[in-house]
Amino acid sequence: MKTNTVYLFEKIYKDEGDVIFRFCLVRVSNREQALDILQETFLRLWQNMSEDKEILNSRAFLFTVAHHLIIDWYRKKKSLSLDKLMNTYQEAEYILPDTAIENNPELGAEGRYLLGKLKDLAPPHQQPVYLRFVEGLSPREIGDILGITENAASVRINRGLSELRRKTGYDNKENNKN
Amino acid sequence: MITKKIIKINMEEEKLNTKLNTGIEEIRKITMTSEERESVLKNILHSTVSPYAPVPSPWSFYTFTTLIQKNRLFSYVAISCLILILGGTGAVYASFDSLPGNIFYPLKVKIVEPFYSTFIFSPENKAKYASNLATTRLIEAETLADRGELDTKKEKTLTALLGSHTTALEKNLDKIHQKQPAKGSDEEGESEKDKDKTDKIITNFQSEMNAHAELLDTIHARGKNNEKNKNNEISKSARESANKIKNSFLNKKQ
Repeated sequence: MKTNTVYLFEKIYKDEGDVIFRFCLVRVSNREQALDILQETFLRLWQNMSEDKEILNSRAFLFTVAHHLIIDWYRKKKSLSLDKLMNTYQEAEYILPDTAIENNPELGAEGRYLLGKLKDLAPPHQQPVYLRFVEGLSPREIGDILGITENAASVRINRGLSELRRKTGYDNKENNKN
Repeated sequence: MITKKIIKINMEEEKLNTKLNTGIEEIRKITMTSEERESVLKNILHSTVSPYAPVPSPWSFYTFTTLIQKNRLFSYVAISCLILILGGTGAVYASFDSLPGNIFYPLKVKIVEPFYSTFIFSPENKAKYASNLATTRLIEAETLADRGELDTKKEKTLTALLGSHTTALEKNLDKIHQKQPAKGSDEEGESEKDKDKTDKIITNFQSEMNAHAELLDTIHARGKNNEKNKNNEISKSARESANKIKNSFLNKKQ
């Protein structure tokens, strides 16, 4: 029985580990911190599986836990250096931080550019656009993770995509006019 | 010409989408190194308890919240009890200042007051309580009469209650009287004290009844024109009650 749990956990870790790591890294911009959050996220899953608790959608579960852990991390960080953060962020929304991730050598030019523009999106659009187009999650899953309705998630995705197209210059209409 | 333009637009669109897709593909290439992957998995599988996880209490089995969490039926019962207690307490509190005609008045005279009397054990205290209740009924009648709301129905209710309080008082006074020892016995000194107390209760009752009956008559005279204040049965009943208690006590003394 225990072996089955370990096998199942390892399979989920293999499938979702990189996805969750990327999600964390993009948001915290610190590799060590991203690994810490990833470990804590999977540890929660492991504890739930060890206690034979039923998890209907492990992917949504992992994203939700990671999302909350990242918020907690921001809160802790905020309480440590409030003045610094006041200068850095204008709003208390958990926006994509610093430029460290953009300097990641693993990233190509297009990826770096797109990530930079994702960071420039309005805070409510950043997460839905990222989760939809980079991680391929459904609006319902995004709604569950962010604690909003499926409709609200769809609206944010569409508005976010339009905004992203405008900001990246990938907007067809504007290009056609030119 | 038009066909050429459409082809050009489609090519532009494709190029733009390709750029977007390339960007997304490049972002997706961000992964952990194999060492990092192994290390995290090892840490998870070898960990016992997360430092963030709450430590379960050894007493949790016995706590109220755990019982609710474990048993749905118990939670329904607990919630029903809570509603009943909160609602009941509120209704009892609201009934304290209620008057005849109020929705909470029956609760006050049929449940709260008899319930309270069950916690009084000595006949002396029971007599005092009955006397106080009789006075309360007269105060209620005065309040209603002053507002011009004392109609026949309310007066009948109050008269009936006053009668029952007088009967209760009489019964308890009888009990005190029966307890008193014969003349010349050792307990005679103590019985004298009891007699004084009984006298005091009767005197108080009599004076209260007469004073409130007088007050009711005054209010009645003042509001003579008011149809509702036409009845004055209750002040008559109060005086009769006072005389009844006085006479019964005098007969027993003789």
